[in-house]
Amino acid sequence: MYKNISKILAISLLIIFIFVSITGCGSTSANSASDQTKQTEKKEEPKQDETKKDESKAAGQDKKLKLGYVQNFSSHEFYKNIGRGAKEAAEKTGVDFEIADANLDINKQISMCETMLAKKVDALIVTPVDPKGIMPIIEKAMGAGIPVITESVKAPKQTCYIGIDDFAGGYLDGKYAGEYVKKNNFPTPKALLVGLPALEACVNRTEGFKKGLLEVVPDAKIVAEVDGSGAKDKAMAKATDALTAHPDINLIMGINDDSTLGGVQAYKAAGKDLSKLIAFGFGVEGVAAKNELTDAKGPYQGGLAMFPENIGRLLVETAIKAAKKETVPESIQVPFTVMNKENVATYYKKQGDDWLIIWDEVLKIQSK
Amino acid sequence: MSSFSRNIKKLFSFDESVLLLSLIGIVIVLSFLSPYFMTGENIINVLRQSSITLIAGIGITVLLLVGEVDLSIGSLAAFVGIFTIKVLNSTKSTLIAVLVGLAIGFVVGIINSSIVTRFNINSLIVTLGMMSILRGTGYIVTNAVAVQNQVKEFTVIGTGYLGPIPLPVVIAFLLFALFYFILNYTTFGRYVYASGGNPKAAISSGINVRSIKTICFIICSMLAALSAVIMTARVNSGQPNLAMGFEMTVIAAAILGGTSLSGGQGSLLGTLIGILILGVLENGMVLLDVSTFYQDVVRGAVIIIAVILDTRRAAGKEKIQKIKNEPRLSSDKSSASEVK
Repeated sequence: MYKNISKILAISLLIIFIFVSITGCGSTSANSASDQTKQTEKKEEPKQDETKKDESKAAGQDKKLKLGYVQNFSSHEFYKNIGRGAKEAAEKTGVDFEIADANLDINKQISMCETMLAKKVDALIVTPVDPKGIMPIIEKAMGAGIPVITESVKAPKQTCYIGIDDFAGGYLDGKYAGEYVKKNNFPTPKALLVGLPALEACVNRTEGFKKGLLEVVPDAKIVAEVDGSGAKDKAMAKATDALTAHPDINLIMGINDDSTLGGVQAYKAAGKDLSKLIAFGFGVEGVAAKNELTDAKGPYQGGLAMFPENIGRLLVETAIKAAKKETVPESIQVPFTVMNKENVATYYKKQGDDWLIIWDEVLKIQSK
Repeated sequence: MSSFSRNIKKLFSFDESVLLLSLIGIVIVLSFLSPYFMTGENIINVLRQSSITLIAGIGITVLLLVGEVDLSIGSLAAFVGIFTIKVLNSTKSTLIAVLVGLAIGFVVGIINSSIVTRFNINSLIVTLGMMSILRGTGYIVTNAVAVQNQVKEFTVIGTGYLGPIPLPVVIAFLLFALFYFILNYTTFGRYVYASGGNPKAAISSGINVRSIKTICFIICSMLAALSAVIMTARVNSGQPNLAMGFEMTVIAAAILGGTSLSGGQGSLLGTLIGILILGVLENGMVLLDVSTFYQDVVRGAVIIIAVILDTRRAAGKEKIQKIKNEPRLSSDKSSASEVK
């Protein structure tokens, strides 16, 4: 009898574990992110209703538009901030908006997209885990007349692709680095690139950076390229090794916040003179990078700002247009710019531990 | 038999010989290939990076010896890191923060072990669930934003030195010595091997296997928490994505070092050599600017080759043991099984 009870207990615990590991991992960040908005949502509910009426009048429909967004990796600050911008835009326009996380699992992503379609969304937004793998569900949605907006990763077919030109971004970043070197009479750069070679987008960033840097400073040297896996601890470990092999490294570039900061941290931990280092980043998507960038004495001199909040806004606004059967362009290049110590405060405002986007300024940036 | 081949046999007679020779071989090759490899700075660098893995590796080895495994150590590291920094920022006391970190390890160890031993569930499943819970909770608590450290002294744990030796290496060495002693020279150590090697026999000879396992789970989680504190001090922030896949590196190193997944077999020395092999390889390939994709292939190949060599040696030794023991098999069963 006791055995039976413990068996039942064991099985039910197992089920709970499996349930938690499937749903817990997937929706935690979406939940926690929505907690923030929930509070504001309540306050703005009457407003929402007004705008909803306006919206539905404009669309000539009675029902509120419903958008679904399946991200590939919500637990990253970049995607978190995309979600933040998207939710803000959805609230403003008064559409129903739901966000889910595939946690880098393409099968999970497909089934989440299916769920969204079953919930009768009017437009589907997706950051594909894999551009080919996502195709069947995109075809299914578009076949049913539901527009699909893809972000970051372009699929072979979609209603509209919204993303950043990584190579052009890297190029701009590299040119900025080169100009910084020239302007400040910094010694010839010996660069360490902390990359992520498994992702094409990230390879384009480093390639663009190299091209830009070498164009301005032709005798600059790329002395090492390492795989930092996009995570601070791994970036730091690999950068430490590279700094041992090439003690003369004086420029560090990383493909995202964690890669850049991990590289800088390795340099710091090696006990080297920080005033002899300059660092450039890509993304400046999170809190830590903005803090480091605003440190007047720090080596972080500039980073390509992607403004994830703005990407989120573009996603929702484009999805609404597409859902209303208005024409949308086949692809939208997200505008970007280089942020440096001087202009961070133009685009972001520090509030407590957080950085809030200043929409008026960011919207002025034209795509290149 | 010539004296030369006898000497070779002798050299190969201790358990970790093949691994040690592999390590020495890799070191020799790398020092020829890269002028930076054999520099004092680089050796210290390899030792520091390996020491963090070793601290968790000691715990995993102890746990593998009792036939259990813990997949949650990587997520636990992130979880501990986040809370250590949070406590640190609010109390400004490094000591309290570290103690809280270790206490989290203790509690997680208790939870893991009580689920495994009470309900008799495979630890692979339990700790897989725990891995997910801890990682998820870390993301919930931080909202995926790294917690920045505001107390400078704390980083000393990760970046400080005792003379020329990095502090993490000192900590790892002391722990290694302590657990080497415990496993080899105490009753508890014998019980660990016995509980993992043949749990039924252990139970019938009066060993409380359940509590031995509980202690091993706690040791494993607490050591993982300690390595998490060091990692966190090194990256100077509580990163919710800290130590992704750390459990796999640690378990691979332990298995490379000859520790069996089914319990009862293995040694700390093996784990140490396994960790050093992986650490030296990782470091050497970056020094040589080997492309990342080739790095993965080389790492995998070395693991497989080392394990093949090791099992062949073990099989050869078993054969010799059998022949030796055959005439007195009946009277000497216990000592034969002890040699394993």
